[in-house]
Amino acid sequence: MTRTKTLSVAAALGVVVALAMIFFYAPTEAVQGQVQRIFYIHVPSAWISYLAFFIVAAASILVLARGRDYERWDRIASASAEVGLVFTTVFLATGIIWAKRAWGVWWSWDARLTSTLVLWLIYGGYVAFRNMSVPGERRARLSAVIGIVGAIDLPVVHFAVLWWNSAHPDATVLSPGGPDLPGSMLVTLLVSLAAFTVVFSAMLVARIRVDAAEAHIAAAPELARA
Amino acid sequence: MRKIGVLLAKDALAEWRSFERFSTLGLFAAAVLLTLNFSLPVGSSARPQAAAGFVWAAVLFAAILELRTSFESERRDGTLDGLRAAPIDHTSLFVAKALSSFVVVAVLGSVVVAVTAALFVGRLDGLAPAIGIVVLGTFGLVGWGTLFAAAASGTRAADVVLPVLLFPLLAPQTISCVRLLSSYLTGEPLADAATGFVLLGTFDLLSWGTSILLFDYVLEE
Repeated sequence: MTRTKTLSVAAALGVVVALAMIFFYAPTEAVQGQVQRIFYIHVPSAWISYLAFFIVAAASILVLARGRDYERWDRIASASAEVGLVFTTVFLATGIIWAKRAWGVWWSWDARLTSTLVLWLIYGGYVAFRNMSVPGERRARLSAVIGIVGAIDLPVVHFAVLWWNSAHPDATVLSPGGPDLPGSMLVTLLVSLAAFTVVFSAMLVARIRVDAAEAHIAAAPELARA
Repeated sequence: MRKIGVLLAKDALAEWRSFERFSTLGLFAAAVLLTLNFSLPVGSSARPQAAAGFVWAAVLFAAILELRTSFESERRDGTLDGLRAAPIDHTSLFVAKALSSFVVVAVLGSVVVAVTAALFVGRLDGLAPAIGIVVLGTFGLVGWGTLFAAAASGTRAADVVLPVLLFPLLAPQTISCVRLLSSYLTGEPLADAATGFVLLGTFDLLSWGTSILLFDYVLEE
């Protein structure tokens, strides 16, 4: 089996196991009830979002540092940004659903959701920029600059949003679980996190392969001529 | 240092002859304020509280326009290649371009604050510190603004991508400027104003520091 296939099969199995644990193994939360189970999707997708954008930043630095040999890292950065955007969307969507059930509003402008929305917009801009520019070395360099600046900006965004939020006493800061999470909940969360990581890796590897294949096809007419 | 002065004088002379940037940006900012004003009900008592957000929105939109023209006019007239070929290091080029936009937007922003304080809030007490906030905010804004304007210039994506990228990146600056401005314009004290100033200063430093480091990669063709 190829690496992509192995990863895909592992991802599918992981998701089945994680879903089974979320619905049949993890206990029903006392206060919030069934809706709290969305926590096992919400939190891992947040972690994966940050992992993905960390990969974007690291690969972007390598694009600029490696000079001529930039293509590989550029491919990794762009794939990670696209897949990361999917997981950030999942994080925001589950956050919206959970907020409606738990607090009665779709969107509360709480600090974490707001800074994730900013994150989503930054990487949305990154992907939009790539889609609208001509592929090549200049696009790789410019998107690397965006990837690095975006990563530097995130902590500042986080603190700014916290400060902004501190003046709104009506906004509830969501703190699901915390360190006193019961054992079975923690195990479910960790299994779900592992499954999400495998899904992310499978999507990342597949995306990189598609991108490489596209570049290969684009270069084919030139190769035929030569 | 002298090179930066020469580049700034060039932009100033072009502006002196055409008066293009100030006149269009001034009209644009006025149009933005007018439009935003219609978002409030007639006789609304929320006008003073909304004023700070209006100021920042007008400054931000005008800045996007200014940053676009700053590079696009050079590219259109073919002078960008001249600048790139001139014996000027890219850092000086960045500093000159950013300072030139900074002067334009900061002057415009100060006028916008004064007008808004008079028309929307009805008091001019906190005007001096409010202008200071806008000037500080503009400084950070033009850092990354110039970097990305240079990056976007000449691409099909330029018009769309610059605001799409800049607005979320500038979120911290927007938050600190609007809250501090609001406090000075309305006279309502802000408990943790010091944090706002630290945020503003940190952002200014980060925006200029990273732009100077990365401008080389953006300018190469």
